[in-house]
Amino acid sequence: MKRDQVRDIGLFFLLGFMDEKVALAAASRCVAKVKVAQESSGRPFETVELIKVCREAWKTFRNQIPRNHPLTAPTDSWVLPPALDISIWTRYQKDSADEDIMALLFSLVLGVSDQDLADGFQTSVGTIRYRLGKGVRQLGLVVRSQRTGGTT
Amino acid sequence: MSEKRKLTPFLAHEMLFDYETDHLDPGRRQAIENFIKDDRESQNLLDAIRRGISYSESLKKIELSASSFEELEQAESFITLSRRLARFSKWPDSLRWSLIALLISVCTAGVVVLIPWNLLPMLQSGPKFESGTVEIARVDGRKLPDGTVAIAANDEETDDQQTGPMEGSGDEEFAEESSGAVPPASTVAVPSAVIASPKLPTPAPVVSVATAPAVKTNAPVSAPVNRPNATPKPVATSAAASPTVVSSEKASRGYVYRAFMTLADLENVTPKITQQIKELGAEKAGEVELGWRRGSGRYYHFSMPESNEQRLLETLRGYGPVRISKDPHPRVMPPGQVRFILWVESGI
Repeated sequence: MKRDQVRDIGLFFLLGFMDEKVALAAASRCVAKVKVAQESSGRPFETVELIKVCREAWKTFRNQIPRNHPLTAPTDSWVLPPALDISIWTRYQKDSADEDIMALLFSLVLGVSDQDLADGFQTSVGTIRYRLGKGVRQLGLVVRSQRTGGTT
Repeated sequence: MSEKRKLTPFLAHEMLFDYETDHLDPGRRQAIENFIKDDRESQNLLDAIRRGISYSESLKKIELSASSFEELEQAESFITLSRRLARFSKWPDSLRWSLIALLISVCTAGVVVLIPWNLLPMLQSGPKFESGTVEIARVDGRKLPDGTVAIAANDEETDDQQTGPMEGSGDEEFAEESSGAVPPASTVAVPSAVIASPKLPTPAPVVSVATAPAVKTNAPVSAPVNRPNATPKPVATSAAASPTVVSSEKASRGYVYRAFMTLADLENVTPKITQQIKELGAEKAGEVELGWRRGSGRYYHFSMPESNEQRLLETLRGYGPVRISKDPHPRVMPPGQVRFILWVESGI
């Protein structure tokens, strides 16, 4: 399994859950599944299949995060760029829908194409574009409000 | 035409992301640009989208820590974990050797538990009697001229000169017992070696008499039988002949007394017993004489008047304790006569 794949899976769940324990557990399951699939099929794991596996794990582990989860970041599990304010993402992640967060992470952070996203989510490209626009707009509003010191 | 393509604020706002990421056709793109010039809210939303995309680009620079990366790289599913654990050679040495030792212990214990040690002849220290069983004589099968195997005395202390007609013991009780016409209360254990089969090995079969519940045998007669008031049986019968014998046995009303004694001074006492039995009117019922020496014991098979039965018992009790049982027997004695089989064993 490629190191980039491991990194993408880990980053996807860390940003998506913002809970170190649950995120690493979900990522470990996905990595293990990808390993087994690659060993049995003998070919690289396709992006669409990776999206399906991650989405399935998301649904499984998302319920393990309590509703009143505090706004913290898994600081031990990642290395943040100095100029990055992770609290912006924390606020956005807390208030947004799961499907929007997943679409944004896959598309803008991990660089997955819209068509692969649509196949992985088993929906249309238009729906994916709509979720992305909605998510990016919401994230931008949080960024602007954070920079100006106000709230959205 | 441009009037028809004029956008509503809702459509314009929803297409701002596509406008920013260059996913609009030129006409739509021109329309959005025209709309944004005059719409303050659209300008704000477009600014937010640009900020969001910019922030997302910064998220790409996040890297996993070394510990998290290592943890994820070593992640194993249940399948891979079970596959790895299934490789016995990859187990720790201590665990492997412990399991081997445990397996050997379990197998050994299982073998020890399952082997019927008490049935192994090599582990039996000497002749053992079952509860309520006494061994009267040891007989073995001897090959007759016609190819059949006959029951013969096999005692080391006796020979033909000592015991007279020893072939097949000569006593009808032995013949009856070995023929299968045995009273239910007696145990007759005659191995299959006494069956008329010239090829069978000849171990030392044991004819035993006991007061315990009987184990019927279908062993055929192999010795000549003299029966004054019974139809002669074939010399060598097959095992298949036994059902009729058993059925007639059930209908029989005859009986025989079986007595057993253990005396210390057998050499001096048995002549006296023989003499007193004769005085009570006893006559030998088999071929062997009264007080026939068999190994370390004496064998009496006789008939006598029923009126002297009580006196006989009193006489015997004078020498020691007597165990006596009245067993059914296919032979019916004449009225007023009873038949006894007495075995006197040498003991401390």
